[in-house]
Amino acid sequence: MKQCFNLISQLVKMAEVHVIGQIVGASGFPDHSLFCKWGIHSGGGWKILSGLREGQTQVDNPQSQDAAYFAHPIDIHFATKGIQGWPRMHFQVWHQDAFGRNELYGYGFVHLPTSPGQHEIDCPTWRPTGTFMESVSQFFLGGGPHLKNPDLIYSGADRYKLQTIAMGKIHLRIGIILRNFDKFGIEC
Amino acid sequence: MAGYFEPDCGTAYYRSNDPIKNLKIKVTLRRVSASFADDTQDQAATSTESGVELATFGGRKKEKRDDVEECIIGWQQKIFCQREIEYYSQPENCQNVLDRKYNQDVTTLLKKRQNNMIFTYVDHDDFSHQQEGFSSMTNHLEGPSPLAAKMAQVRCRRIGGRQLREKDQGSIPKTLIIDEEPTEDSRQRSHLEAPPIQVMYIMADLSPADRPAEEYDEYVLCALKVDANGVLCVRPDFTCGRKPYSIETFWTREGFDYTIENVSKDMNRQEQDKELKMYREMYSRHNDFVHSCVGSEFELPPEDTLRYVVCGEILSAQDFEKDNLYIHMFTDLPKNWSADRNQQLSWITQSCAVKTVDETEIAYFSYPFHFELMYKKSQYSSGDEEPELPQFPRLMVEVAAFDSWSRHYTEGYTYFQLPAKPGLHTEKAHCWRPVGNSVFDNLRRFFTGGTPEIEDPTYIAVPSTFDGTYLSKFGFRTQSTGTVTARFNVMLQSRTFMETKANKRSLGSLLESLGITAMQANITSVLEAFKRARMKMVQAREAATQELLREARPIYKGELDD
Repeated sequence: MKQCFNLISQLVKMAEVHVIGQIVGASGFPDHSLFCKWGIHSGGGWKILSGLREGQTQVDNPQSQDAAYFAHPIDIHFATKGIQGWPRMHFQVWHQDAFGRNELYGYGFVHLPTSPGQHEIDCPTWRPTGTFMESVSQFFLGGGPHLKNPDLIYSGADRYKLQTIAMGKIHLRIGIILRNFDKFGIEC
Repeated sequence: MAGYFEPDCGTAYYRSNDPIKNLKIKVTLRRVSASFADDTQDQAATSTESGVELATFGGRKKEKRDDVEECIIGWQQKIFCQREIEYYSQPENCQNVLDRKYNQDVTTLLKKRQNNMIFTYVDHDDFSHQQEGFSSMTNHLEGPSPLAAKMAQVRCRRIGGRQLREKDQGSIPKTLIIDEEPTEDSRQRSHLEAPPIQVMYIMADLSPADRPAEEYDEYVLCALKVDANGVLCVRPDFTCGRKPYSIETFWTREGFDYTIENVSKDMNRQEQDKELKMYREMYSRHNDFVHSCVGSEFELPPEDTLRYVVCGEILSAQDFEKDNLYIHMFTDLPKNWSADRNQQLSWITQSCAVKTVDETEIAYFSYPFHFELMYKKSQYSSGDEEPELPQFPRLMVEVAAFDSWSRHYTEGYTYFQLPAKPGLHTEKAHCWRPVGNSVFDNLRRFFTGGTPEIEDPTYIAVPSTFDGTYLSKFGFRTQSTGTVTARFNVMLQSRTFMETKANKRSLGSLLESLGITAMQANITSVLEAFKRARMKMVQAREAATQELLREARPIYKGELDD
């Protein structure tokens, strides 16, 4: 059976990307008890061969430390026929308070690294702000403006309309393995 | 005892994807010597030294045992020994379901009396769980130390192992995954991930004929372990024609020899071929399917161009004077660089209010951008210019602030030199802003928010109108402001990389990798040679015509007629 594996792998060459890593945690947010929703968005020529494209971590409430740790695994296998549309990750950090309400704490966007190896990446996050009265009510009651359609932000064309405020950082540790990229003349 | 040959009885590992239930093992056990006379052998009257015939001990005599016993055992086939039969035939010993099942089996078996020596312990017997912890290391049958006893509990296998075929992706259980009050047993079992293995022990009951069997008379002939991945451990290994293994019993000092053989039926040649063909077919179908999802043509840049792809983010800006910052940036393309029409090459981020972290005021943008550029040398240099290194594009950045009273401030200018080396780069660039000459400019900036801006955005790096050899920005007054951080992922793609793939240097000299200059050098050398040859030819022709002209003289009338 090993012979047929070798045979098959030599017949057809596709460029493949393995993404193996974890969302380590988040730090720098005003309050604890955070969870994170994440997703990976890729261009049209990319196909996910295996792995989950999106997910949500558990709620982490550190007692004595500053940072919340999720240790959420990311394991995806892509196949592609072009460099365009290199995958990007988007994050939404939410805060769950003692009453069970969920409040948005930040959006973050990061490109997956294009070079093979292990990368430690910090993704800073921001949150949309409203008017002064809205921020006062947000202080007491929670809530706050969300983006109507988070996908709009990928294009970046409409971002100038947003008013935001800086929040914390999400820490990622991502390992990238590339396959057959050198056969198509790509140096990365 | 010392010095007799001990066969190598280490563990052997076999790998097979066939179902384990096809495994059949043949064990042959033979008594080698007896330390006391057997009943059948007293034709040869054995007498002790003193000549007194010793009567054999009374008591419950067992059935006479054969000297040789042979048995074919399948996987997880339960064969009872005498001690077990007696134990399970008494109903008060049967506690749980397993014991009751054994009770049933035993009462049907008791019709004929067992006198076999070989029996088995299967996966769900108690012995299989205790054996791992309590096996003695030396031949003195020591008991387990406290540490060994605790260790045996740490890696308790789950009964039956996990399913031998595991699922593709991990499954997230839909019911409660937290057990509020675990029992001691489940705590031990869930402590470490239990390896999904199944075990089986082939044992021999080597008790002497005159007393009932006890647990310490049972010796392990062979321990078999099967993994979920099709790995079979056999300890000791099959005796394939080697010397049989020998056991000496502890109490009675009898010697036994035994051999273990694998007698599983082989698949015949045809079926093997069919199976191989089927696997091949399946994998090629799967590969075709995956391939058709993606498409077969990988996108390549045109010939002789370098495609430069950058995926990046503007991460943050810190230490600026005002709040509510936004960043406006665009790429500056030097000559020989081009971009596709629908590439976006200028970006404006959202405006972000700063927050204070460790005495710096920082605004997070986390703004992704990506673009691709093409580099192509437009014409081959004719050989008198020096081949120059290609200049990589720059990202011009302007940081500005916008107030709630619609005052607009220019907070700083800077530029990022896009890296030539592929990989992940995180860059920080410091910003400056122009200041006016008088105090009125500062007042204006404070009250109404107008700041002097630069006219030519490329002035930040090298002005596009600059053509000379000495760039001097002296006289332009600026003030330092904050820092912008950005991350770039750079990739280069070119067909010439494919051709030089055999050369394993990663980037080396950029010109060599491009191959343009190499080709150029070849072509120019050919052109040079051609030129020289042509020059020579022209010179030769000139010389020839000169010669002719010199030798020529006007033809007189009469000369030609001869």
